[in-house]
Amino acid sequence: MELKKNFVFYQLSKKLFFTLILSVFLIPNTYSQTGQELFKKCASCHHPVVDKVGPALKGALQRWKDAGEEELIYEWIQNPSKLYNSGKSKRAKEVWDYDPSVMNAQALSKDEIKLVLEYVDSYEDVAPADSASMGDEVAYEKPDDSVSFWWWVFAGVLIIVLFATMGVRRELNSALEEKSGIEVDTKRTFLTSAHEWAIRNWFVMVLLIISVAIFSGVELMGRGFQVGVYQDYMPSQPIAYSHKLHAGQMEIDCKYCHNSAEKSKHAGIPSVNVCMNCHNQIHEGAQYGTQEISKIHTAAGYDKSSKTYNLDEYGQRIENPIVWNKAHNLPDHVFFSHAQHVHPNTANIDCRQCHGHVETYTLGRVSTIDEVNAFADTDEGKERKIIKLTKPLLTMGWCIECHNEKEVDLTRPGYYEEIHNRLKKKPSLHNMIYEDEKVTPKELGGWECAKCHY
Amino acid sequence: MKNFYVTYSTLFLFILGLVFGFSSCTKHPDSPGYEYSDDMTRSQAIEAYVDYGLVADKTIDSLKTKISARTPPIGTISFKEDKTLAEVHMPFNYSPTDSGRTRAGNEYAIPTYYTNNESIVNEGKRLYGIFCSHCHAKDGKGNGPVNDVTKGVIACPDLTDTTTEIKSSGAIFHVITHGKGIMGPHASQLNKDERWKLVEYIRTDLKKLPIENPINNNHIDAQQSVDNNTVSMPNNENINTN
Repeated sequence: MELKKNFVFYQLSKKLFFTLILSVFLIPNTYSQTGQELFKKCASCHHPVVDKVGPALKGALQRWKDAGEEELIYEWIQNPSKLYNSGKSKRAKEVWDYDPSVMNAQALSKDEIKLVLEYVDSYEDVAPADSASMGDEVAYEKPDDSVSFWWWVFAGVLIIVLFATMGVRRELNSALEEKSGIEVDTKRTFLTSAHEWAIRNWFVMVLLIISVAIFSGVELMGRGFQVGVYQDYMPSQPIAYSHKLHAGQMEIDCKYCHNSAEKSKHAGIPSVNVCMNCHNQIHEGAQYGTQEISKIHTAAGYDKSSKTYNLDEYGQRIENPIVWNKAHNLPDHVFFSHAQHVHPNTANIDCRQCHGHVETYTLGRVSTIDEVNAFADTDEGKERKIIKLTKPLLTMGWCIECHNEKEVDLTRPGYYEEIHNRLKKKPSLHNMIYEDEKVTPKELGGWECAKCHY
Repeated sequence: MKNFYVTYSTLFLFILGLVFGFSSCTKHPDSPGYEYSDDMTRSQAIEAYVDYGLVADKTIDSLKTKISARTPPIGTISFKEDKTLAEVHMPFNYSPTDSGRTRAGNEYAIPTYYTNNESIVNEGKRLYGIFCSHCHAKDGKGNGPVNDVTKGVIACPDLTDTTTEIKSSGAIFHVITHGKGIMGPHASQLNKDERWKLVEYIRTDLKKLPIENPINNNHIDAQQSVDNNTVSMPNNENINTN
């Protein structure tokens, strides 16, 4: 009995022991990181199935196996130049001579490299990664004028038919009258009969004339207020660029591309090298395929097969600049500086206060004041709060309305700090400005003519 | 009799004109709208982003739409009155290669002007939000929204990872200036002053690198550290003029 119990115990412990041993072998992945996590180190230059700076890695192990140098791939990844210089690997020479852009020595152990290569070979291409379904539709539509034109032609034909039938009717009437023996007034035309009708119904005519006068007056005034208002202006552009995709989905800040907004009068239209920061990798979009992005490559002088730029003798890229069409135009007699309005040490205004929610539409466009107001007071923080205004965008009424209502934070370093210090020296002026506990640009001279017109 | 014709045809034309006027109410997006007078609207001088063919109320076809935003020329140095900033903006003589980066990492370091200053770090964080966070993510972990949308074609390394070869402020500065891997050179978007602020933020908050021996970079003999291939490389060492 005792013996049997011991035996069972022995068997059990033996099983347990072997399971333990086995488990060690069955789970070779005892490293803290998996292949996928480790691959992040490679991901800035490599992709499993897309050629980036480095080649696509899927099947790399197989290629080295085919060359009969399976073991050397680990040395190659750990230190490519060392293996190349040692001259013991044909495959290394082959790869090196094909593209001598050097990969740095990687601090990975052989087992870690195995994990990475396993991960890469098991990589399933979910979607075609290069054309990566980049956002949804990029609306690039223009209203069709031809339809409305043909409607006008149709209306014209109808009017002619109308007059023709009326003429025929009158002729028939007079023919009938002639037949029944009534004397026909031969001078009686359409206009004379209309005139007679008008005299008989003079009250209706007066009403008609008054309503037409009021109507046209209102219309004229409305038109008058549209003069010099550029709301809704959305000029067509040489490339179907989408703010919705770049600024909306990818959350790229406005100032990444329009990077002179904080330093200069102009917000700046990005030169093509800024596009190439990403589009040296992204060659294909979801909406237009390579059609639109290849225009960037042409402009940058970039050859995507050889991954080289067209350079002059000094190493400067020879570019063929993209001529973008400017949407926000101010007349020459107005001075406006982005730096004064955008930089955090100056007015520190959110771009959306004047440009609307650009991340929701595709091409650059002058927003309407209603669109801006729809998002007013929703943004967090007092400083960059979007305030509600009434006048149309980019008009002088709108400028001075904002200068009257926007609050200025005098605690910011630099310009406003200096103004604050000077104000403190003049208590009467200081008290006058702080009477309503709010400092506006108007109180600091924002309504002076020569502030913007000189 | 003649009066009738005049009165009624005028009335008719007036109404017709109104109808036609209304038809143009739907504005074409390519048209900027009405203008009162173009007097003082177009600049007499050449201004930025204005078509050179349309300056001074004249149309010159040979100049039209030829010149637009271009990459600043190699070696552009922005003018600074401030002596400290002027020194900061001196040329950065390291080639856009791996050897250049290694050398910059060893030799080049953040000027003392930028270290131990809370406001510089905050400014660097703000710049990071504008120029880096869409790829490298707000926390520096390397999975910003661009990675998601491009499905890993634009993949970024973890900036909080201290085991990479980027271990000093000089190396970070080199990467921002000339790019590395798939990252493009950002020298045209950030001037040297801004780049150092960004480096200071990445160094202290993300990489948590120790303070290096402060080196005054301007004492390094420029001639000594110029690589032979500096000039022939494609990437630009340029600074915004502003």
